[in-house]
Amino acid sequence: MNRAITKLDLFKMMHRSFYIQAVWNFERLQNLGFLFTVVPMIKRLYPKGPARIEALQRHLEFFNTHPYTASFVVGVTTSMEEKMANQPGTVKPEDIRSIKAIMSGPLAAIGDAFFWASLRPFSALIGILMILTLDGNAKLIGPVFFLFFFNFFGLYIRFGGLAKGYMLGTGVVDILKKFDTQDLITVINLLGLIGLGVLLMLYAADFNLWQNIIFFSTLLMAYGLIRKKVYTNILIYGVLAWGVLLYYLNINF
Amino acid sequence: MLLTSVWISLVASIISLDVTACWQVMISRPIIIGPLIGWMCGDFIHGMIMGSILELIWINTLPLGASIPLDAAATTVVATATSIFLEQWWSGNESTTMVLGICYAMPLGTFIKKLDIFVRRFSNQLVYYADKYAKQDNLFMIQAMVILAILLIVLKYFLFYFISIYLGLYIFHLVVPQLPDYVLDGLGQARILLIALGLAMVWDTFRFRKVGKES
Repeated sequence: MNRAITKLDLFKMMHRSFYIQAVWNFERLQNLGFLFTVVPMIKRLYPKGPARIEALQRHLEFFNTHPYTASFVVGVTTSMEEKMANQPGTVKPEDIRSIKAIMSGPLAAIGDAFFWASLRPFSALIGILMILTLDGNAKLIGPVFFLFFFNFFGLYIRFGGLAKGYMLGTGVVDILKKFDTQDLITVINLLGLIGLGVLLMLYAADFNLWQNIIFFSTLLMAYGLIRKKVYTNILIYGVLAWGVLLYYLNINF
Repeated sequence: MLLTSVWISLVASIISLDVTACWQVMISRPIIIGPLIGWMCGDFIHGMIMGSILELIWINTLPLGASIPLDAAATTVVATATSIFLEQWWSGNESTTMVLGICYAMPLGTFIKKLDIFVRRFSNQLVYYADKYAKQDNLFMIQAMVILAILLIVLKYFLFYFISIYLGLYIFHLVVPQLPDYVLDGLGQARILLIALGLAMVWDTFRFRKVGKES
């Protein structure tokens, strides 16, 4: 008797992986979220009984990675569980445990560095540039661009990761090893700096000399304090107090 | 106003699930939720400006691993809603209302981080229940724990938003008429300096550094 994962199961798991962090907890992090994600797989492969209880407990163990790249782990785990259920002895439960642990660390690092620290700030910056340069209701293009541009990559990795992970099984690890985001991140950061330059020029062109002096000196001061790791809340109140002081001293800008 | 506040709190609390709990398709970022709340309060452009300023300032909030990120969504919702409501009864300039909204919402963004710790401790309990139901082979109840966690997060946000918006309006009624003109006008003028601060954050985000090394 061959129990095979259907396309519909994969699609259901894809949908459920959006809730992987719903029960984020301090003890085992995304464990219950992961189990929730793979429920369609467990239902398909294991009838009620001791094997299913074992599978449920196996996926309630500690798990933590980036919510987008987690889809790779879901895919690989599904393919291994399928093998284990159909050909007992080929895959051991320990193998599944260790592949989850081995993959989650590097995948979290890729996801954090690429999606959170690079692509999202970049998309937001371009969106804000559009808001500033467009007029009236056309400003709406800015937020819409941000949402679609960022999520194009995010959803691609989520859908593609699950499909690739399931099709290639443990072979996906070799692909991920070759996958180097460092160059991509460098390029995005460079484009981000260019975007910042354009934004600064737009502001500078709008200001008179006095406004420019105050704006750019504040920017430099703020940058110095950010590098010194001053809390953002303190910086915000500090900048506002500085603005009120300037106004009190009759320095209008 | 009461009905609008309930409506805003409800929509905002569902969208706030996107911060860490569900989806993570970035609908909770200031640049999206700002214009949306602005539109619901009747001033779309106001919300768009608020969203842009706050997005710049928090462009680099990273929800890394076990750390709880600063809740930019919560701050944006409270700042946008309170400043638009303030504008409806107070005849000061728009720029000042925006900065007052941000001033009020800022400490609340830190407060909700503290609330989040409670929710995550409670999630530990839910996981213990899930362990128990796993032993009983009860898939239905395991999934119910997940839904319960999501409902709890929505409830947390709903109460937070509703109380914060009302408290904010009350505080503004008390404080704003008492403030001297130079403070109010100075704050309005200082809005452009918040953008300077935001651009400094952008600079810090994209400056050259070794990848993989935080800070």
